[in-house]
Amino acid sequence: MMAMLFLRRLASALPVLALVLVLVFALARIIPGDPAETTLGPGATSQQIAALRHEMKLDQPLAVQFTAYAGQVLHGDLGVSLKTHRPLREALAAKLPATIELAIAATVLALALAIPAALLAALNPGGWIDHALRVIAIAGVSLPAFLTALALQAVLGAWLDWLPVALRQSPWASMPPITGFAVVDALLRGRIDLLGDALAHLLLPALVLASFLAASFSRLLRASLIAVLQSPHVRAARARGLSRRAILLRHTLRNALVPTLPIIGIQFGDMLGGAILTETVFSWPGLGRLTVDAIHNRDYPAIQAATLVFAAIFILVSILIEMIALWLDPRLRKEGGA
Amino acid sequence: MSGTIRAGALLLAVLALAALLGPWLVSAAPDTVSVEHMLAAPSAAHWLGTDMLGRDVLSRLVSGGRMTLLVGIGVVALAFAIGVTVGLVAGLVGGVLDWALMRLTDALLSFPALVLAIALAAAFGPSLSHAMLAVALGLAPHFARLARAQAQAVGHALHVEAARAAGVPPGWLLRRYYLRGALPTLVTQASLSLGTAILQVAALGFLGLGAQPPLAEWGADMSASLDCLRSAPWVAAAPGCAIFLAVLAFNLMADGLTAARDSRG
Repeated sequence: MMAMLFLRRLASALPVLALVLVLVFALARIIPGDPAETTLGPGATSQQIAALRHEMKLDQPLAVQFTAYAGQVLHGDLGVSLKTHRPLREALAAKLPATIELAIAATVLALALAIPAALLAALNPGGWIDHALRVIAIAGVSLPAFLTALALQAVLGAWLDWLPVALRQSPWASMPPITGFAVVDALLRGRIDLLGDALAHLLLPALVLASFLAASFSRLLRASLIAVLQSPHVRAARARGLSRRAILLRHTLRNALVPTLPIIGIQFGDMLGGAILTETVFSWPGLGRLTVDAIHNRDYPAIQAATLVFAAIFILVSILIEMIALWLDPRLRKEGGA
Repeated sequence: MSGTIRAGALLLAVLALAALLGPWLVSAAPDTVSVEHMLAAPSAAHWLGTDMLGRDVLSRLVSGGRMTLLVGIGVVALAFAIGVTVGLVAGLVGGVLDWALMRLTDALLSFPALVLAIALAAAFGPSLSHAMLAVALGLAPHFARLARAQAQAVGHALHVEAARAAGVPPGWLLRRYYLRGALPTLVTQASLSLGTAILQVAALGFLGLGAQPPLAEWGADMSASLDCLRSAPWVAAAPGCAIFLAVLAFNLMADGLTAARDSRG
């Protein structure tokens, strides 16, 4: 049932996916100058340039070029880095787990902060706790990720020396990756010390990303909780003499989460953008760091490939979140699926 | 008027005043290099100290502030112009054009906002105006969607159907009814976007894709001072906190505006 829904949703996203590919393809055409000349550098002869232009199909019409590009991408070929001359698919696959691990840790941390905060605020709307949390949340979404990152790094890392401020592992903990996820690898090896090391490295960058997500999500969930509190089934529960706390936890939270899910999807995209800044500050060897390095090296194929992968993650997560909403609320299946 | 609107307006007024009166408040020019005064700690002569080139941090802060406010407004105005035109035309014309424009909007919204801005800015080449264009193109789809929804609502209103039946030309319809009808909602959206715009342009500046030295811009100034973060933290802290306060001012006002709109129903 859910698999069918997933496939149907994916199919309906196809025109948009194709356009995303067109846009990423167009990125390389916005760049001033000829891609073949850029690739070869200033010392190339005109014959070399002409040969590469032919090889890159630059002498063909744009539609042919795009079809070739789309075919490559669909076969999993993301092009070759101008800097390392190695396939970008390998480079991206090596960096992807670091970014996914960071994003998952940040999401878990954000939910752990936001759900209790929203419940506290909804327990007494308009009370001082609600107001205080509101101000904290507005401040939270106004903080530039790179400022939070540098401040945490300076205070908790460099000054108090509590936590590591760069990379994913200490030098002693460096081992060949099994899955590429530091936390999972540590568990697979059954080494508590490795796990502790990985989590310590993960905490600060995840906190930076979580602060933004937690701030916006807590306000959203609070509003949704208060709306659900007006519904008849909650009034019935109250009439049965249940306490406000029990009603919030058992009869409201699940219903209130459903309408907030699409917005979590959008905010996940903001978090991916924030990951680029956070990874830069924490030297986190992920996709964001790769993007920034590619920009400094003027490695346009790498920028293109990373942009495509970021968009793919964002689209997949959005669809996944829709699936979670359908699972939480069966009523949506009839309206959306038919 | 809610507390957050008042707090935001007050903060914004202080920042705008500092930006406007800046040249009279600070004595040193923002790009006067002085080797003897490199990385001086805050003092009576330099209230916020000096940076790695001996430039007065406060004066760069004030100069960057004027730029930041103008850049934020400029980006949102650009996003507004592009997005609203696309959205209203899609809503007015309908059919295949509407379908194509809205799929393009969906595709642009399929990129994480900052990722799109970074990719575009990298492709255009690093400069402040390119960064502004990149951020505006990322924000425009939101305006387009909203404008289209408004246009469809307006298009079904009786007085507009009557005007169309009476043979009012499309250009006239667009300006007289569609734009005017959609304006209140769109202006609220514009106010909500100001904080995001400033944050994203600053992020591009921080990554080296925005304003180029020696231009005083908060994001770029912050990343330029990272090398001396330990010896002279004030050089990075000042522009960082300034970005936060400017975005906070706009977000406080936006929060108040949304609350007012929601309570109106």
